[in-house]
Amino acid sequence: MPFEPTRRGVLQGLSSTLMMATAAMPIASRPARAAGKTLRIAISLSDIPNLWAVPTGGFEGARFGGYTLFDPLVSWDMSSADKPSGLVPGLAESWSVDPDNQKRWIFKLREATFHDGSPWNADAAIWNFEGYLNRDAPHFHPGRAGMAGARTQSIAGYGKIDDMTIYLETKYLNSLLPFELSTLFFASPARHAEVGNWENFAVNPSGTGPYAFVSLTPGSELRLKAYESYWNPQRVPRTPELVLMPVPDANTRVAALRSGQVDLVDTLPPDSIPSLEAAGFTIIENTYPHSWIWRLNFTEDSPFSDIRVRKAANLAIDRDAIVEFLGGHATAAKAFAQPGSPWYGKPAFEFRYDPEAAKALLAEAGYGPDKPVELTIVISSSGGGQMVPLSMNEVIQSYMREVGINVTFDVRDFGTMITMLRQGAKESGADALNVAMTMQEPATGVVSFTSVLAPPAGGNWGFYNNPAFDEALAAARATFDPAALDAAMSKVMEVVTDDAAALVVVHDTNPRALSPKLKGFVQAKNWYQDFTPIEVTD
Amino acid sequence: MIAYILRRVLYIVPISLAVSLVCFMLVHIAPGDPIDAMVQPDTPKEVIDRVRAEYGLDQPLPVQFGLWLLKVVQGDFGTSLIKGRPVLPDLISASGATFVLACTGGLLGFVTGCVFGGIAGVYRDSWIDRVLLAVAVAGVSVPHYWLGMVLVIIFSVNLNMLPAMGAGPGGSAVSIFDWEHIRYLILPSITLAVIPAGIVTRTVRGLVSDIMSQDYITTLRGKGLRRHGIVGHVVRNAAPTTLAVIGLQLANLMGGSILVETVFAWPGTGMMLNTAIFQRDIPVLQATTLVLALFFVVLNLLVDLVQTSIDPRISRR
Repeated sequence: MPFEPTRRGVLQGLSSTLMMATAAMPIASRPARAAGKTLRIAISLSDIPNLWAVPTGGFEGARFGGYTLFDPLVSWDMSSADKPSGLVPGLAESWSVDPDNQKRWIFKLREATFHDGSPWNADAAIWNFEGYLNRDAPHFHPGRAGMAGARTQSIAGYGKIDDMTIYLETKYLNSLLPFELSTLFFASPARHAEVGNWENFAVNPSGTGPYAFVSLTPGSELRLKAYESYWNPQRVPRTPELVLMPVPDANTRVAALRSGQVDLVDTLPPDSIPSLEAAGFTIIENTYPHSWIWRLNFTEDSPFSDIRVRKAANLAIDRDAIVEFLGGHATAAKAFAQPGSPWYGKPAFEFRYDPEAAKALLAEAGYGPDKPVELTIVISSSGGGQMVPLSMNEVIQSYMREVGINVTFDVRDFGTMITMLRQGAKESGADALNVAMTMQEPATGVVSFTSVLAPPAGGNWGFYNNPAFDEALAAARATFDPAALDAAMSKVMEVVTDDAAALVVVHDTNPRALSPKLKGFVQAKNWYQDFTPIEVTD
Repeated sequence: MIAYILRRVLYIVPISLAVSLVCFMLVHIAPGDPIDAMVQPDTPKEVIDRVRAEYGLDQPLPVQFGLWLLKVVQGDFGTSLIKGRPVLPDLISASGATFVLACTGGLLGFVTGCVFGGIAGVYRDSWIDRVLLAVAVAGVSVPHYWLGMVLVIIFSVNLNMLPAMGAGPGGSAVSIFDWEHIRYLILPSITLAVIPAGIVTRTVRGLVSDIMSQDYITTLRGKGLRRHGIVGHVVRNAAPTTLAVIGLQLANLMGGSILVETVFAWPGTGMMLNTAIFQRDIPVLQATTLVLALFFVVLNLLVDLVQTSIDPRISRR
């Protein structure tokens, strides 16, 4: 007997359709629209970063899912586009090292309240450290602890001194601890108790940041509102609402800006800039501690184990031409640190374009027209901080060929490349790995050149082993005076530059496009940015 | 018939299991590690090892799969490794968004395909046929993302008539069908409709022209049946095959078009799956694949049942 659709069947089908469609409701109930202006930013992540105070999505995740809702103990000065962005007090109004025990740090906390009205104090701080470091704590979560692991790796102990003072103890002398704490955010214990677990907290978060949570629509938007009781009156947001929209496709972000759906586009493709400028949009960019590099393989099997080949590679490429290729939206690297950095130092070797010197160095190392250097480089098609890796690497490949270095690419997706970064050069068999590096927080940047962090212990992909570097870094970690620390870190940077410990190409300037309606944005020399001064005008 | 339906419903279990198993194996064969995607690159190895153990990712693969399956049958799809949110609400939300887009794009594509195909079949080898066939071939050939971007440039950037991205104003639900929300559907639906429209046009054209050359059509004409009467016979005979093609296309659309959803920042299953693949977010990948497999199986079953209802020559026992 043939199947015959019945009225009931049709109604049931429609009912299921309605249920399915209704399921696409936002997690939190939609708020009434604020009367004032809303700032809408298109971000390049594929979804809103995790909101449990340890954001996913790398530096961009921390920029939008961290510094908006939460605060660290030690923050960054994001108020100036001209001067280097340094550390400033965050939830700690001051900190010092115990003169009798330099592994012990004292943090005086400031008066502040979480968005839910509960107080920020030593108990809240210790509760957060327990959540990161104490596996027996009821609110310990392995995912959060893992994501924060790079920031908490040097912390051996913590405790409350009084209601507004805590101490931290480090495993070794570590003057770089404040840098490591600058992306360790603090969540509200009261909100966690209210919602019961971190999964629920992630969809109803509460921190002390300049913006408070309103609603989250997965894959679509995060809606925040200005936190009027923010502890720093200078950073109470000028717009009542901030909406973050994940738009992973760069062209879509630009189209959304041009059609008026968003007001600010983060991570802008360089080739869209001329037409945006012509259409009246504001382009803002600035240097920041970013280095687009090839991490080199220093093991015996790789030509890069020879410093002459490393220097030749660095002399083979015309960085100014690459900057021009990028539309001028980058800075040519001359050393590991970007120009203007307090850690630039006075390196003896300068990254410059000198193909004849490169050929001479290669000849000295035993290479020549009949015996070119053969390299295999792992690159990605895209990824955080990678700029336009395919095109940039092709340009580099052509420059290398001219001096007698033949480059073959092994193209991987970014996730695979990060796994390879951890596995180390011996396992991948490549001569270099193209992963951009931050120079902002030493622990996530230059510290990875330490010999003890060779895989599997850490991120020293190429098994770099230079006693001079290890000594310089140990000396820097033992230097607690800020000015002396800058000098010591300059020495660290000089060592890796003089040793040509990477192929350092350019420093990104991260151009952003703003609607002409926006006023007040200052792009700091930092991976993180402050969106609170922005006003949306008519 | 009821026995047939029950049997087909029971098939869903082994099919879903097999799809989940294959997906699970592929995820683990592919290079890349979920914990590496989750933590900072400079995280110490002991921390990574501890996290891996806490999530049970250090267990043998059969144990990991068994534990996942045990939770799924209890309705627990786990928590995203990357987002820290339970997978199920996000998956339901994404499925809803894709469902709305697929139905709209599908309807547009299928109606266009049937009309174009029917006309081309009836007027086979005429200039009308050639024009419609050229349109169909262009529809199948044009890259989704290119067409999407061109439509955005014309209708969003230049004419400022329709939104360039998103599924609704202010991130609101896609289930509201007022003009403010329908505006968001138009460009992605048209983009999504182009390929199924081309495929259905070519299928229907072939079927109609074949049926039109059958002896019984000549007989019907000889008996004096008018054109609209003949069309009724043609439609009834072409419907089963067309439905089968439409069913497969609809299932494809339900899977979510990664490219269309990415170009229009449409928060559906395609985008969710794409993100999960790059982040090696195993719980999201497993759950999404399972749901998409169920979409395919259920839609195929529905197509079979509808085919049976309109063509008595097909029996389902």
